[in-house]
Amino acid sequence: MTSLRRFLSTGEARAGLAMLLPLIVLALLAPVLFPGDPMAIVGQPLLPPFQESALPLGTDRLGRDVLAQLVHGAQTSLLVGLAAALSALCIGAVIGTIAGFGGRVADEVLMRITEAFQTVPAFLLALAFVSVIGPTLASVVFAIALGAWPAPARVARAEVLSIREKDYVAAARVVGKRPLEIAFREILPNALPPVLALSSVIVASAILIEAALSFLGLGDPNRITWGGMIAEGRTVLRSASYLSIIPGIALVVAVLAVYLLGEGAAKARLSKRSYA
Amino acid sequence: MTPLLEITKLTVSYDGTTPALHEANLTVAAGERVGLIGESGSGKSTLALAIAGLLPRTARVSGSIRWQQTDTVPRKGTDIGYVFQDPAGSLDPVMRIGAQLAEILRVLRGKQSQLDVPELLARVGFPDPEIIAARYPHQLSGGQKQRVAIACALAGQPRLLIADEATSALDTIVQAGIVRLLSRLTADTGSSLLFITHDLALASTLADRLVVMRNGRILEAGTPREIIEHPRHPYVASLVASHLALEGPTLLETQREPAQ
Amino acid sequence: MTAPLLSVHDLAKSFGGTRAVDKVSFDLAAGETLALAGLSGSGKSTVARMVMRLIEPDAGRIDFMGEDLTRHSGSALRARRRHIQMVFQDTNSSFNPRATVASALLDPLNTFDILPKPQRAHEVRHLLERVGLSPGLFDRSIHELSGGQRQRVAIARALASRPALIVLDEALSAVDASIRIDLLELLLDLQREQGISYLFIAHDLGMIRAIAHRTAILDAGRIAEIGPTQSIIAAPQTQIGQQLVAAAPRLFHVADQP
Repeated sequence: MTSLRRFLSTGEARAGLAMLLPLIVLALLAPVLFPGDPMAIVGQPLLPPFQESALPLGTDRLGRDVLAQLVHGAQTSLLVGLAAALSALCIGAVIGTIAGFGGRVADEVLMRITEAFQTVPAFLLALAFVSVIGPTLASVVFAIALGAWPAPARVARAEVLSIREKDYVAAARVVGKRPLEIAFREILPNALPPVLALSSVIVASAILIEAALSFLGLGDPNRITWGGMIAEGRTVLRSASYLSIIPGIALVVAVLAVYLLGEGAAKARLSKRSYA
Repeated sequence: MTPLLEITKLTVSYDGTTPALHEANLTVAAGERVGLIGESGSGKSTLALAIAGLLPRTARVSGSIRWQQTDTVPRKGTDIGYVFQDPAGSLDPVMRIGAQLAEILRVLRGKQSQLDVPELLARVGFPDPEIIAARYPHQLSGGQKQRVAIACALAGQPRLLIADEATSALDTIVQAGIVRLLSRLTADTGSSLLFITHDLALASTLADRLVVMRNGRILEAGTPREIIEHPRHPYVASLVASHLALEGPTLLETQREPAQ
Repeated sequence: MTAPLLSVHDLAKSFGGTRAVDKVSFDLAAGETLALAGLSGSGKSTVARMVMRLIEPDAGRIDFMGEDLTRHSGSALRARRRHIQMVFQDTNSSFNPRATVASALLDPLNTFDILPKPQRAHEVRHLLERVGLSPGLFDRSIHELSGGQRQRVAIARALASRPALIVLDEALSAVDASIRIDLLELLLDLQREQGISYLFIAHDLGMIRAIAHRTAILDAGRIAEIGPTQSIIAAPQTQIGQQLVAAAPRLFHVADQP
């Protein structure tokens, strides 16, 4: 059985995909489904959901289409989540590999830096970074990655430390490979699987941190975000709670979907091991 | 001699299609020492696991295993003792040796074991059992650990001892000591021994009868003298020929250029 | 007499206070096989890995082809590795899990820049044939092969750079006996054709006797005795030598004398 089929055979993976795929499709089709500016005023303000067929999820305080915002917001949430996780995994894998393979001094220095980052809560780090640099999409992504890379770095380092002692690394030295080539071509690809296993947790937390930053008004002001929508709805929480609840549900669905995919992948790996 | 164990047409398959063991027939008499020889993938360990009832639940098994001429299955521990290849893997790293043995004796007390821990350890050749009993596995050498593993297998006073590549991970000197120990123990207690190895010469030093396996089938069985002097199957002959002896002409001499 | 190919002087290594190797010295001539025998923990593999500069010696010299290898590092050491190659015991771990037969054999050709690039794939096929494998295995993943086939690929990998010395660290110990003879014959053929020297690490005297001209028996990090293999096996002078010879399994040794 291939790994993909093993993955798809788990209930977690199926449930996760059933939730995440529609979100991805909606996010990708946002410009087609809701062309034009989602921030444009299209109707009377505070129209509740399921009242008007043209505006199925109603409108917000200014009369903007909630569904259009939700779909465009999915773009931002997923983009930031994936980009931040990818950057964190890349930074972490490279730093972990250098720490694990580069000798005692490199290891000591890099691991102390990693610990320094780990002692600061990821959200505070992101908050501080964005308030200094300014809220753009790139700075939000980098701010989240800044707090997320230590975990993959530590996992990568531990893995590299064990692979480093394998005979095939000695064999690579014997056939004259250079240290950098050995670290990144021989060791890193084999150290990646446990590092990648962290990706679901990182994506999920990145989506939540992005939402929290946007909620505090530190998201990219030119983009619609779920966190920003919740913040918008906060002022009318008693009279029009749906404005906060709808993007809140979207957040829960996205995070849960990513988490379930991670669980599915872990289960698939376990079942592979028990067959072997 | 009365048969202790009779295996008839035993077939085992792990994946449901290719059999790891194919229609194996084997009889072990009471007190007999059988050397089961095979290279990697020969099915020798599958046969041993099947006898001991240690196959994974997903394995498909057909054929019959008769124990002491009844249809009962041999019981683990009291009928069969099993010694694995990796002694470190079969001992609990955070328990003292004495405590591990005591636990096994306690579990098997249903059979009213008259043995105690120092006696068991003395039996496997430790001159000072009390000292060994107080140690942890990591404080012992590989050979000592394997002796302890043999003591564990003997705790239930089994009628059949299975040693599955039990000496393969050990140095030749230690290996020879373990083989002597197994030989002495089976002679003393009258129990049978199934000695599984890839090393024909090693098995021939201790077995009453050799059984050669390949690709899940039993190819040939006979006394060591029969197998070594008159192998019938060409593979068995090649196995005999591949023994690298310390006497006779060597490859180096037969291949050396006369000019050198 | 010409200078030896490899000459090791007073090699020493300690791991955390215990002396794994203690002042080991020996010579190895071109085209000769020297076996290092001993129990596990005797230091034989540590010596092999120090000769390969995979473990840094604490003290001593490793003169190879007229230069002290311990003085070189970095690219100078990499350039010299071309002439001194190694085959490991465990074929599962001595190849990258992602390697194919082709990538494993192209590695030394590429790093040591042997032959013009377009000829290297052809050379790989030639190497496969030389070690008794089908060139059709070219694209196969290493881990699809049997243990014996993998060890042939390992020998081909060591041969690729046309070395003067190959260190065989228990290289045949885990191989099935019926295949072991073929591999011993292959190694002997290669030695005769190409004049390669072998440093043959093993614990099995039968195997050592089949291939090694001379044998050194190591005990607790020191050379207990060294001499022609035949005389060491016929008349070992030390206690450890006598024990090793006595413990080597012989075809029905005990069964003959009950």
